[in-house]
Amino acid sequence: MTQANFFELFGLAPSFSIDASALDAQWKARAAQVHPDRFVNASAPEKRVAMQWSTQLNEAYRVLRDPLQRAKYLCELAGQDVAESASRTLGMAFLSQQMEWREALENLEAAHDGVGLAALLTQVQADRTQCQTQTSQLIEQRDWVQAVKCLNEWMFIEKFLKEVQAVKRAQAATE
Amino acid sequence: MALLQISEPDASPIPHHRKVAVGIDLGTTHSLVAAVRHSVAEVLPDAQGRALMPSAVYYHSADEVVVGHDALAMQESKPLDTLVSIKRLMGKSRADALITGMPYHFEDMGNSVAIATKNATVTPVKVAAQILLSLRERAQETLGDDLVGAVITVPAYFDDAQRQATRDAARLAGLNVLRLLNEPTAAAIAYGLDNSSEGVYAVYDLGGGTFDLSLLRLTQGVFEVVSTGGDTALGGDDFDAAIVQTVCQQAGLNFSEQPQQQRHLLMAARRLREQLSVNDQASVQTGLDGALASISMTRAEFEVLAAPLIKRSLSCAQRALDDAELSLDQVQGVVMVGGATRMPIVQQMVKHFFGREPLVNLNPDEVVAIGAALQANLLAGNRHPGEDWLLLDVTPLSLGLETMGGLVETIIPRNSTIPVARGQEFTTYRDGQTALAIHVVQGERDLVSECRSLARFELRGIPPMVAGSARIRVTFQVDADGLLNVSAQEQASGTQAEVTVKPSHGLTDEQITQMLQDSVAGADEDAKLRMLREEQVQATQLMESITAALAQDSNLLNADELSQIEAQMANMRVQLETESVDALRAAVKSLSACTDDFAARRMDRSIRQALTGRSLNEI
Repeated sequence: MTQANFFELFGLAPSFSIDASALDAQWKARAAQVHPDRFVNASAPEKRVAMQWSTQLNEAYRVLRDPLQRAKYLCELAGQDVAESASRTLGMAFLSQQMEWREALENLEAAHDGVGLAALLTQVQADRTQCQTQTSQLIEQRDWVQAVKCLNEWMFIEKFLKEVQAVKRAQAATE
Repeated sequence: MALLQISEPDASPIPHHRKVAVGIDLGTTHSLVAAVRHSVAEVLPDAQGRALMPSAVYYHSADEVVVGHDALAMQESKPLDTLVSIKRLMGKSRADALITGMPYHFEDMGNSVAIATKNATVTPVKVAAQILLSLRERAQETLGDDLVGAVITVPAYFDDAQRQATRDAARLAGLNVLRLLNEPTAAAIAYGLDNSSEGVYAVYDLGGGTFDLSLLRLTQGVFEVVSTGGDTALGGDDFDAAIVQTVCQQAGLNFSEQPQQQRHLLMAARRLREQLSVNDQASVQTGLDGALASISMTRAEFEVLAAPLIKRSLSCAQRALDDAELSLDQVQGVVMVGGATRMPIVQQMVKHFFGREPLVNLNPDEVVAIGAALQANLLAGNRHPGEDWLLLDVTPLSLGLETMGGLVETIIPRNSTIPVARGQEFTTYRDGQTALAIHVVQGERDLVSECRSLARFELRGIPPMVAGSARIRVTFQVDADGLLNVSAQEQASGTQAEVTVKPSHGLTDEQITQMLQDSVAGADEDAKLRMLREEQVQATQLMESITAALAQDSNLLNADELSQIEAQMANMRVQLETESVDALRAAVKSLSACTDDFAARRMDRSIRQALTGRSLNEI
């Protein structure tokens, strides 16, 4: 079985802006047709094919519903090697800001500073939103080189955001 | 063309051809079997009208067993030989078993634990198979029909080894497993269909030995699990143990080395706990002499012991909410499942946590079996038009690989919708290397030592190449039962590597096959004749379906493939005339082998048509 285009699988046009509820409905409608539960009485090779299709639909849905994964997928569809480009495209200014943030997080964690943590979270979320908007615009303009650069920053910020949220949760749990 | 069969409205068409499938809740304390009869799902009681069967087994000898109520009656006199709460040992090694603090004498059997009782040494899989067999017989007697299959429930938080063990037990009991279904999901089906609910629901499932919390989104006939959390070592048993520990401490006594006394106390503690669910104070006889001849407690005293255990369950709930990125106010209802949720303190704390009254309108002991029966009926193809739903479940635990330095690299994160697959590329580090070992673990920690070792996969048959030039793509596939399959292919040459699985816990495939063969060897003439008939039916059905497929789609085959299939079919016609099970089995196997590819191609084409046909219609 060859890898299908994720957008085509759901009958959607390849674009960063998609209708989330349409995607959700398309996924469920198609999953209902190919889910292994529909083929429990089929032969082993038939079950295998149904499982592969079902797996592919789930994967396509996972990628398309998440803005970051969707942006990455669009860049890859355009022939960009996102994973390989990370080290080239991130500038010194961006990387040093990342290091500052990380240091700040460590300090806030050690000091159990809930207020400072909330402020950091707000700031990182704002940066993430900005990065997302910018990436999506560059993708719509088909400026792939700049889009990939922006996407790499976004991936860094997203990862850091998860860490801040994890620290916040851990603090909330000990209260 | 076949004649259409017309039946009366609401009467099932030709009762004898009805495809009967059952749902089985294989519980720590109790097990149940349920089925859809006359369009209603109901639990099937035994001859004495009892719905719950204690999950207890006593061996008089290796072949002579007592199951259920009769076995439970042996418990106080023979605590070491009466096997209860065996679910806690499924998919476990001897080292795991020792940690449970259960009183049995444990031995090694390969990587699985075995329990040595006075009359027999048995694996948990075999004990569970006895319970399933007993329920299968109950179902066959009640329904008066052969079963086409069963949906068997497992805790959502069960790992791969525990699921595998459950499926093996079902195979040993002669059940065709249509699906392993997560317990909270089963409960959601029973509850959701009963109330035609929509929105996000939490299922809080506190059983005899395990705790699960699943969050589901219900929309127009789709049950989508968004996240699940749990603890496979937290249940009603732990509340009983806490009571026993406290009363022993207060009396300055210790029975942990005396299994019989300990068993008396645990059983008394359960009765005490059940009474405290109704009364503010309770006192029960233990059957022992001396200071602990009877034990008593107020509800307030008990609740002090219970609160830390319930808090543990609620931190699992919090994590499931975090994983789903849902807040408490987005949860529209909380469904209570499992006998242990009858405790008022559980209901109070769950109510306080979720900020809403939990839903308790379905019997918490039966709701899982009812949901499983509804799903079994759906899978068997007995649904009526308009009575259809889809279930989308998730993996409870992250799946990872051991990398350098004992670190885990996550391959499939927890809460991924199943079926799910991920590929990973490996290379060789020595010239001419033809084999590769991969260690797969399950869990959320960064270190291999802190995760659950699942299996070691050995890939063989890699074509010899210069170090670093082979590209081996390994695919990790988790199927709709939540079970892992691994396949590997060298990319440059296209060589399929041979994968052997060495499960870290539990029985190997060979051991299960051996157990199955042993049971066949012991079968009487009647059973052998039945096997022959079953094999003949299967062979005939296979021939019919291939004939139909060829009439429709022979254009998918080239002349060579077609003549091979025809030759195998001719061979099958000859074998069908013989009365040999083995010869028939061999013929079925080789005919299937040469038509597998054809079947896969047909399926692929029909799915493609279904998917594109749909989008064309919608545009």
